[in-house]
Amino acid sequence: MNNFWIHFFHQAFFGGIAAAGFGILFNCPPRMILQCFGSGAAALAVRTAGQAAGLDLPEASFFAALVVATAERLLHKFQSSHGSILSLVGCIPMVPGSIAAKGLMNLFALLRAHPSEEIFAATNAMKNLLEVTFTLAAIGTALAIPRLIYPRKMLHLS
Amino acid sequence: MALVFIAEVMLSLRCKLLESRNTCSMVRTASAYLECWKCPNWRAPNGFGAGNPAAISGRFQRELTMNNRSLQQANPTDPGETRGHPNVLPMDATLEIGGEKFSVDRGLFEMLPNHRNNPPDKTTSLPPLSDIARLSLSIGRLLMESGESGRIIHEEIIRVAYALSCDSAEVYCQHAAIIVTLRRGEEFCVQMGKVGEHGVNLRQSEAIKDTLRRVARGDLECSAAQIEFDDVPHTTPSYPIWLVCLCTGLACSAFGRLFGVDWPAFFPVLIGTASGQWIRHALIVRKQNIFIVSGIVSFASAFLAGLGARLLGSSHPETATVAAVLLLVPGVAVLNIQMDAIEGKPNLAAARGLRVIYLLVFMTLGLIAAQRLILPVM
Repeated sequence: MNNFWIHFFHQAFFGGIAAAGFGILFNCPPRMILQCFGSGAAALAVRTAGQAAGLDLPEASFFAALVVATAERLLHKFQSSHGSILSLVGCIPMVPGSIAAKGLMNLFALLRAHPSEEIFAATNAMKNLLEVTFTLAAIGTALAIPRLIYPRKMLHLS
Repeated sequence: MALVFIAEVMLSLRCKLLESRNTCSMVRTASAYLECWKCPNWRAPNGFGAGNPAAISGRFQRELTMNNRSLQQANPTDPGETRGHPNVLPMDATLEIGGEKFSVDRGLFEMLPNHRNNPPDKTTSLPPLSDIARLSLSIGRLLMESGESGRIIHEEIIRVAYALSCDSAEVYCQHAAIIVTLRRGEEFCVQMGKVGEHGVNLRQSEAIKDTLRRVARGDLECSAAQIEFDDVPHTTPSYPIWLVCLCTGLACSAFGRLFGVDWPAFFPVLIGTASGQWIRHALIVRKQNIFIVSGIVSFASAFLAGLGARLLGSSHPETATVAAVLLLVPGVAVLNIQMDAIEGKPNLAAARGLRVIYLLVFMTLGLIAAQRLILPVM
């Protein structure tokens, strides 16, 4: 139990750091950097909890992105432009960039693999790329759901 | 029937008189409204108040918007052309404001500000469609270069076009170009504009949206807005480059920790990524090809991180090299691809996707080259 909580807070903290760092890279307004940290931390916390509960990476990422995007819609003004920034930056730490890189590296490894290693390399590459695809699809869908349910008003008069 | 006819004639005369003075946009919109009320086959040229929303009294405008949908639902036989128009009330509309009922024959007209007391309207001469199209293209280009999704770009352009008195606006967003078609009465204008390199700049995006809000409220005219949008890339504040490099390094080190990189590799990843970000900044300022930049930065970051991790005795130098190149993963673009695909813009999503794949391939090539140099066991 102790180990789980240490792991949970570790993931949430470094998820927040990653989100805040990318917030600065994306030229996020300074007043929002702390919120970016919170958003990233919340996303990683939900994902870690989901994975601990037995969910796969795409499933856990879906719920984490959905929580962040829904919270953004509920906590911010309806027409605020800040909301989308927060959920976007908060979900950046969950983008499986390292798995994508490993998948591509496995594809390149396939070119120089011995016949006995080919199946292993191909399977690994396929597994990694599928995981990336499903995780990205899950995050993107979860981010879109609150916007589709509560779309921005098209203002004609004001 | 005769009385109704006389009333209609009187209203029509009143409209024409007011329209002939044409000193206040309120008069124009009011007459448009009454014309619309009078004749079922006539369509308000700009919709009620679309020409100059700021000129309409706030209370009246608010009530009109709030009551519009319920009124149209309650009056299914409203004039065909006006039905469903977002800004036009049906012919037998009544408004309840502060518990008191108003209709066109009773008080509704008097609620409009007295045009004689109003200052002369600056927007009586509407901006040319070509200027609005140019403004729309500037907005679309800046938003796309700031990393916004296709839906936001569509919405903002259409919003501004309506605010600047267009009857309709259609937008076609592609990865490298935007096409805008605007209509106002019998006039129409089609323009295409090129889009530069896509990046992510959230403060720039926010500045654009702030200016857009002012245009939509009527606080900013088309020409003034164009000047502001042209200045946005130069006036948007940004963080000093050393801070960006440091924070990017910190973010990738944090990523490393999330992947299980040990502490000895933490600082090498930070230094490798920070150096990579500095190289990226220097090359992009010199307008080098984005894919080549990706390969070079990936190699440099991974090499420094891996070498440092090995020298400091880390047990995960390979993971450290992977963590150090994550600054190159176009996360926002990847999420925009999802948004665009889900929200019905598959062409834009496909073009963005192809670019992301090429970026990842170049990143991986740089990473593999660095790993071969510093991880001889591979």
